[in-house]
Amino acid sequence: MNKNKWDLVITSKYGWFDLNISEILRYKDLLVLFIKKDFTTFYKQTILGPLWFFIQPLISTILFSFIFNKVANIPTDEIPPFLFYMSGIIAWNYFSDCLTTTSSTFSTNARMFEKVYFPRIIIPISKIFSGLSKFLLQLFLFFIIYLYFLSIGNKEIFFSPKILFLLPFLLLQMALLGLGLGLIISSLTVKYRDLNYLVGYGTQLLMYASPIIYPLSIVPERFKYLIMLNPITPLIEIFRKGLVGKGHFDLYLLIYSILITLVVFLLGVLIFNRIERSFIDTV
Amino acid sequence: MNKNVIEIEGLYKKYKLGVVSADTLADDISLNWGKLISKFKFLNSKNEDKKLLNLENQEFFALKNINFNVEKGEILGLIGSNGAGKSTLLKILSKITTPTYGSIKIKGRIASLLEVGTGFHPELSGKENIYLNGAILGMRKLEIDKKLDQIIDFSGVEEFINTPVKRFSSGMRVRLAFSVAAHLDPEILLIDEVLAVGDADFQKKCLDKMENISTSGRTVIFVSHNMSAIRSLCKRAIVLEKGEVKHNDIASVAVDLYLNSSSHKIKSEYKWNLENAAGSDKLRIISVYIKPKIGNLITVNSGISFTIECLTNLKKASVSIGYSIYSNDGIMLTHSYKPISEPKMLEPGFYKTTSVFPSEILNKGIYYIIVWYGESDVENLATTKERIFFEVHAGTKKNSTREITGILNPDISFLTSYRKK
Repeated sequence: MNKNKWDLVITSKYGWFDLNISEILRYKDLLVLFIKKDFTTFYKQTILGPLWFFIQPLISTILFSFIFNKVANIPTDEIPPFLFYMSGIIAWNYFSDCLTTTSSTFSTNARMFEKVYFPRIIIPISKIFSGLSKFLLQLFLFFIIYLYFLSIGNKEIFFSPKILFLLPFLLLQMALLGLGLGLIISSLTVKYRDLNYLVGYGTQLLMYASPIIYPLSIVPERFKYLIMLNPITPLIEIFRKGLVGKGHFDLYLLIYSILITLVVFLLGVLIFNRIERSFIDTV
Repeated sequence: MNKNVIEIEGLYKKYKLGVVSADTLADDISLNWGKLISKFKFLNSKNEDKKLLNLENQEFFALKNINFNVEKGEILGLIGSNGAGKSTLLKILSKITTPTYGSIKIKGRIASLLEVGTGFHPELSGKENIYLNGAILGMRKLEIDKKLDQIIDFSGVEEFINTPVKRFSSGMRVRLAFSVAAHLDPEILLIDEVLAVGDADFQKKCLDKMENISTSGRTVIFVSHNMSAIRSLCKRAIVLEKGEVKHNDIASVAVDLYLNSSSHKIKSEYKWNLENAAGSDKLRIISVYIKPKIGNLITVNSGISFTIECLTNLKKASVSIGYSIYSNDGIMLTHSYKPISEPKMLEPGFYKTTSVFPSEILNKGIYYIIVWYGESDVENLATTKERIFFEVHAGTKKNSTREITGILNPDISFLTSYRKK
């Protein structure tokens, strides 16, 4: 054995592509503990506890059904409005959760990052998984309501098992897109605090540019391409098609969306990796 | 064969002074715009702008050309006054920040106790926090499972282990945190001033644990102001001064060299500008004067008068002032505190407090004090950043011309009676 082998060499030089995967794997227990912490601290000292995971999408769904369907008369592709909005909301919530929670990585954990080293990317990755557990609970709730609609004899809704098979990939893509954007924003907020305020507003705007409160089918032709440019659009539409049988499935659009996701994700990881080394000296 | 587990070569760390980074995008644009404009003016060589440009580019080296090695199983002491670069060095060693130039080579797992209790979540129980904190420090779950009983036992908070940590006293929290860190079992351990926590019993436990760690062949880098701890625990010590290695010697020699060099820091007046005064906008410590109570030289017999002034913006608060006296070795000798106003009657303004430390207690030698202000005995408002040194000179002892040794020099009376056999 070579006695002079060094385990770690700290220098000032580093490349753009030094992402240390084995190091991240070594910290997988920390990842699990962070996810657990997010989950248990979410409802500590609340009366309703884990019920909060259900209340929020339910209230949004009821509100959306009332305002956008009953008041504004926006059609919902012949799907019961409740199911239409709820499917959109839970999918959107997962994406926007991934985006907003990871975008504050540096600002909320600055104190910890000043004191101890671990691969910083563990924190945003853990957020993706805590969001996923929340999403799965909400999906479960959706199925219960779905069964109720079936039992009262709703003929228009049906699962598309083939497309439902795509669900894990859709989720992965939403997670990567949200994570990528979040990583970029979190790295930039280290220098520019303004972005913190923009995140909330920006995600809200992005929601209106996605087919959450309206189906893609009713968008006038001349604006359609604008909505289709949004990489989240095909994800929501396919998700809805899988769940309730109505939605727009366009392979090219999906491929476009996958490409955008990969670019955003890689860019995010690179910038994040770059910033995490010098971040402590700039706060 | 090379026994070194750490090799540091030509290490530099540079910080930019002045405007480091703007807080908003707009600021940054205007700053860069300003730089551009001033560069233009610089070309037209105006003197004031030249100054401005230099000011913005001011750099400061927290570490300058650090070179040393640490051998396996060695306990290395790291000493130096505040701002000497000790913490920066530890931060680079623990990968929290990167060096500007130079390299460090490390063999084995490295773990640091820069500040204990990092990542404690107040809502989680003591046990959950052991797992979380342990994992943050780099332990695997399996390792923590195995050591859980030891950790709980060492911390001495077993009755509360399932209670949320927010119900813990600060002392209990620190003990739990240290206990997690002490069971890390890395090959190289970095420790920064943790021994200042807990009661005497717990401190002794910690020192024993550290000795244990070293006898088991692990390497420790130990930063402390407690010179007697450095002397007794470390074989070798490095003295840092203004970012450079000043001495690298056997611990007791290095400590002596450091203590002697601190003697010319003795002043009778310590004053700070509002910008660098300790504290926050609530309260800042602006000056400390040290004078003999009688005469013009502080001696064993003169008594010492400390005059401390602060500026506060607090209203209707209950604020206390306190100070601790330390020997030059860093051992706390005593501490005392008193409110500076009637309860809830504090008004914004300057408060000047004079405290007299009685004569014939401290022996001749060098001591320092650390002054602090606190609100309602709970919140710390300000603590002096530097150690405030003073020297006690030999006094004139009644009935004796002989100087005695030791830290204390009280007027001890003797009464002897005689009885025939």
